[in-house]
Amino acid sequence: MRQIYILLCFFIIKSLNAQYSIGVFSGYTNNHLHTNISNRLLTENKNGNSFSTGLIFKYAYKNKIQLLTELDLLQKNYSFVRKGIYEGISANYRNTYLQLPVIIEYKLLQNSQWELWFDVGFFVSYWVDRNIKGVISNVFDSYYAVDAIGVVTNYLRFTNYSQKYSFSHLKDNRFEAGPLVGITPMYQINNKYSFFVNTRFYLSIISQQKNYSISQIMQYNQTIVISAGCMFNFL
Amino acid sequence: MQNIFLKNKLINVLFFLFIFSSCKKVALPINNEIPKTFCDMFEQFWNKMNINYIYWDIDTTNWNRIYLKYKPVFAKLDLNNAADLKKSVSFFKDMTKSMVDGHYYISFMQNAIIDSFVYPAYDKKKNLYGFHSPYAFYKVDTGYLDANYQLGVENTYSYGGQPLTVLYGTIQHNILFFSCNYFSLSKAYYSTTANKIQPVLNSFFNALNTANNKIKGLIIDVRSNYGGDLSDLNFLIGRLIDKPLLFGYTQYKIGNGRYDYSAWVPAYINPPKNTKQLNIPIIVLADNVSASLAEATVMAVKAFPNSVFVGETTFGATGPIVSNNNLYNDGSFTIPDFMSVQTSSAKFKYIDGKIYEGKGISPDYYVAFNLSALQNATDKQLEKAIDLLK
Repeated sequence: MRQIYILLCFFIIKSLNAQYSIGVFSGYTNNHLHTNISNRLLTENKNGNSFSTGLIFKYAYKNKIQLLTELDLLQKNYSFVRKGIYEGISANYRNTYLQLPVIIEYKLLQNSQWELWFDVGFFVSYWVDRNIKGVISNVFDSYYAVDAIGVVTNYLRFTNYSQKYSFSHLKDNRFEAGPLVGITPMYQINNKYSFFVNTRFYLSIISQQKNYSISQIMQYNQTIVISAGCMFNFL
Repeated sequence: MQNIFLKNKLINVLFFLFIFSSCKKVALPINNEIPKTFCDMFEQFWNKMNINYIYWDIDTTNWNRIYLKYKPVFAKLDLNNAADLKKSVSFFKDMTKSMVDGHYYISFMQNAIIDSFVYPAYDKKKNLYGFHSPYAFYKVDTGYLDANYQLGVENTYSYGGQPLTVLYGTIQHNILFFSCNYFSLSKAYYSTTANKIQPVLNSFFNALNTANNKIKGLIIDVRSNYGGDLSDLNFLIGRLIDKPLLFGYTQYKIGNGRYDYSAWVPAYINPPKNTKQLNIPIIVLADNVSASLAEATVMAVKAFPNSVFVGETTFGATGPIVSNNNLYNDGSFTIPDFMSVQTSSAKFKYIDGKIYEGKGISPDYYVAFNLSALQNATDKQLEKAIDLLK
């Protein structure tokens, strides 16, 4: 964290003397929980879609290189969905993060007002909130049916639940961090305003769960964020 | 565009590093292979317990410490040596001795130890003061019933070598009494093959339907009842209600982490069709070997507004077990060719918000098991129930 603060301070100080800009963006997130659930029969680990929004602070270091940081609010969702004879059972995890990426942008192309930038950097995130919505086959909400030859079958009903999650200091790793890469096409409307669309891939190298157990099965968020926004340049 | 990426080697390196990192597989520490060594077997057992066991949040066993202590111990054992196999049973007993799960039970498949078992809840209880073996109370209780009582003993539905035994009758013509030694009632009742259970249940259900103001109460006796089929909860207790009865909550594992739980979801008894609410006092009798579905029956009866529990603290195996382990991807599991581990599929907490697993439910009126009185045809627990209904 200390390094991030130092970098931020560096940007702010430098921006007093050079070209800097601020912007806003919002977009779409697609998150994959990188883990192993192959032991869980007929269970699919499904990516979750959600939103991202935030502020951008950019410093133009050289013609081809820009440094930027953001303050993002985004969701990294995923779900475990049962298939086949267990279809209908699911657990949907909605995770809200506050994220601070630090990025170096390298200009790959320029064509008139169009620019294409390659983004590389790292990020830290803080897990702000979690909600788990699910459907479970309830062992104590059942009914039985009797067939023509007198065989009794017990059928379990599905129960929906929505759980406002309380974080556990024992289990949950609320900070995550990792590298990111991306690509940003940008259109310079004029000297002051520009519009961009970017696609980034955030790869957490810190598991969502603490290493509280021997042979712990780790869980890493891998998030694609596609966002659009505009920048205001201070000259 | 291609030229630009080719020119920028750093970008290529970063990109491929990224792809490599994101594709790297997360290891899964379990498999379903037949273990070749005690080391393999221990790893499978420890990890399957780590993933499947439902009580990690309330269990006091330090499972990581167990791993560090026993991994080198099992590494010294030879899976093909009968003496080592026997030694392993004592190690399993020691590893699991403080497990809170009342259903926890290990059976073995290897010939040298096929008669051995690990049953920590029983080992803990058997040395407690007042703990007793199951008792056939019906032999004494028929003496309290009016002459037209009905006893059904059916060997077709047996458990642990004991035939299914149900008893229905009235006491002093104004108290209904029903007992069963385990739960396979709905199976017997709906069987197309006539059996000795069906007429007893028919008489009991008719009595419930026609219960009038003269009836002072109902006694349901699940003493020395180990539990049984889950469907019997609706089949029996469902006949005392006309709408679903909330009696607790269940929680399940929904991930591979030790503490990956679902929310608590409500547990209901659902009435079969055309039942009516029984508005008379109900007393449930249970003892310290009443377990599993018998304890669910106790808790369900206690959820009635006008009910009392008489007897002893129950066994403490309140978490349900489903026969299909794949339904929740938790609970019971096997290690091929070596062992079968029975453990609860879900956690249960009563409507008071407390989990009674490993502790048992305490009676409202404690009356100790009294063998000498029973041998003299006196059932002190039943007498207390009758006194309370007078």
